[in-house]
Amino acid sequence: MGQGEEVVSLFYIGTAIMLFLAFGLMFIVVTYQRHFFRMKRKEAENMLRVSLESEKNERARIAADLHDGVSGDLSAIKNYLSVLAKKESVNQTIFDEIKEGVDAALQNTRAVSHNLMPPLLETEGLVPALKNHLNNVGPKAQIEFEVITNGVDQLPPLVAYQLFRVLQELTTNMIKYGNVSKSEINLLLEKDSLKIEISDNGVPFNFKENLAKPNASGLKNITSRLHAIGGTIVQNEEKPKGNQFTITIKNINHA
Amino acid sequence: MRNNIWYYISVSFVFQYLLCGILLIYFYYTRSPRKELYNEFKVIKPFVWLMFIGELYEVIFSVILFVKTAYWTTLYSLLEFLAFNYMFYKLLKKHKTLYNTFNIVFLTFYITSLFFWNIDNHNIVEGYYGAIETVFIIIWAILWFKDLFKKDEVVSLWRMPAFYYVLGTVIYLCGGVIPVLFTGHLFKATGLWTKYWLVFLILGTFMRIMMIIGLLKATVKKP
Amino acid sequence: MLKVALVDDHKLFRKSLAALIGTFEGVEVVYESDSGKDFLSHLKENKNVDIALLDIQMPEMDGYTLCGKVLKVHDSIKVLMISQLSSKETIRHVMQSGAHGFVTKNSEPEQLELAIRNLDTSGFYLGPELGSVLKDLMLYQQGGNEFQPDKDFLSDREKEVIQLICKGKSSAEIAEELFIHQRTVETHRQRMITKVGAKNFIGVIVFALKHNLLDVEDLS
Repeated sequence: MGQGEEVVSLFYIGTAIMLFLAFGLMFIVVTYQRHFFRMKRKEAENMLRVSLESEKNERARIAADLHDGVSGDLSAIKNYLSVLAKKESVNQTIFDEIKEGVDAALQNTRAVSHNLMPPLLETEGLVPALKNHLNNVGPKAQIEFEVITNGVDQLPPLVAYQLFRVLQELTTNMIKYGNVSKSEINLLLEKDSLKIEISDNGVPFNFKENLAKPNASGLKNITSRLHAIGGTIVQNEEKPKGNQFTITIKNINHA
Repeated sequence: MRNNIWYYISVSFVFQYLLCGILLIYFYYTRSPRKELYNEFKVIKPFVWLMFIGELYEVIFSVILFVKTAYWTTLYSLLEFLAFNYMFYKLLKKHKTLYNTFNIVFLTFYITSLFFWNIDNHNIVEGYYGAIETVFIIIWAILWFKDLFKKDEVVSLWRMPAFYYVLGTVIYLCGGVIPVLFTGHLFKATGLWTKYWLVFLILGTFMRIMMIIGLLKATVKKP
Repeated sequence: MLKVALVDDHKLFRKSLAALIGTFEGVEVVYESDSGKDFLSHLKENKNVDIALLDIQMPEMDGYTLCGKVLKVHDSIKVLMISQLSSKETIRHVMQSGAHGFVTKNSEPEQLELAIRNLDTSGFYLGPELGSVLKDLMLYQQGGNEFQPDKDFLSDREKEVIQLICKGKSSAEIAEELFIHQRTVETHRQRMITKVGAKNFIGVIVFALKHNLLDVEDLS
């Protein structure tokens, strides 16, 4: 029965092919699933990075416009006021009021601009910008800030910016809620990673607990910024008094 | 036929299936489902019962008592389809119309075919049942894959009971579709049955083992 | 008449500055522009500028670069840098660029006038912002000559000259007080600048402060 034999072999061939297809399908699903999710996560991270970067750029632009344009205009007004005072006899009280107003406007503009984009960050780097910022806010809040570093100079600009924002947020929290009088920020560059230790002597503040609360947008901001630059934040929970946080960023040179 | 090696092989499979059926029912009722996988636990209930009662029947009546298996195998085709159809519908939790359509189409075909049923041709008719079942189940499997990729988080496939269910049924049906369609004709032509039916039997064992693993993944030992 | 040139890209501010400087006695604005390049070309033709006020932040050419180029073309010009920034780093940059003084855009007009006049008489201007920053600057200026000068590195006469210059006295006044020629005073200054290896006299002052050859209190 030649024909029969052929049918039998076709039977086995057909079955083999069907099994092959079925196993192939399952195999594709298994391997592709992991790949697919890795792509999804990468895309999400990318989007986060892009949005943070565009936020930074936009803020820089606004700060520059504000600073250059408005401050200059206000200074010009001051100059013209002085010219006016010399040329004609002005009502001194009104003159002083105007001057005060212009000075106040100048100060506000500067504060807003510096808040939007720390002035020294791009030109000098993280540490000078941080020191400058803390010198500005520290005395008013009656906190003694100390910034120690073992030489952290050339950080990639986006990393420096996000770190600045993170540290700014942490120190702002200290000022607002912490009852802090002394705080130390230690930046250590060890081989290929950057470690930042922030300690204060204020009210104990549990990062994890507060992160879970509904209106924890500031803290969520911190974690997402750190995530975008490949960093982590850990709280030293064994500190009896005050708080201590450690931010670690690995592979700082490849960030 | 008794002295044939193939006879003993096919009987061994019956007992394999019986063992699987016993394990299934045992695990189903002595272990408790995990909270988050409760649905996966529930969906195979009809299947578990079908396996247990079905194999019990087969062992008692067919092997021991030698009653003709034809009536049982034809019925089994229907029950197996209903169990799988139910399982996938409850697993995906949607496509109600699809579920009903499949049921109606299959039942229509089944009932219509019963008029043409005779004891000599039952294997061949069962082949067609298997073919329709395969197509429908593959559709369910594809829908399940679609849902899998839509998820937001990575879930390890090897930990999902549903994965084992789908793997088992797809391999079983895809690999088995040609045997069920052809073995009847080959038997008529050659007088040999189990030789060609072997593939199907092996796949059957594979499927049942997958279902057991899936059930185990969905449950934990009762405390 | 003191001839002043203004270079600042912020037009309104520049005009207001010109108006303000116009009210200072004995001072006139002979040139104003928003472009450093234009200023440089102007300088090639006309050397009748005594003092140049340069904005730091400008799009085409920033103030530091412009200062260097201006001093190359016309080395007797006195450069006063003006900016909205007043951070330590800005001031350090200003010092390194060879400028002779610094004011912020927000300074009081009296301070601006003082700056311009000091630049003319003493050849440099250290404003109040710089005073507090100077201490840190001393710690900062590490580069270059890392040698410990002995007490006699600067002669007593040179120390006297520095102290009087810091008090804001002109070369003529110093010559009178020390009973020496005015030209001798100039020579002392020049010698000190060369000795210290600075770009201008401010560098000498920083050097002196750093090595405790001078006290911060000596600066008015």
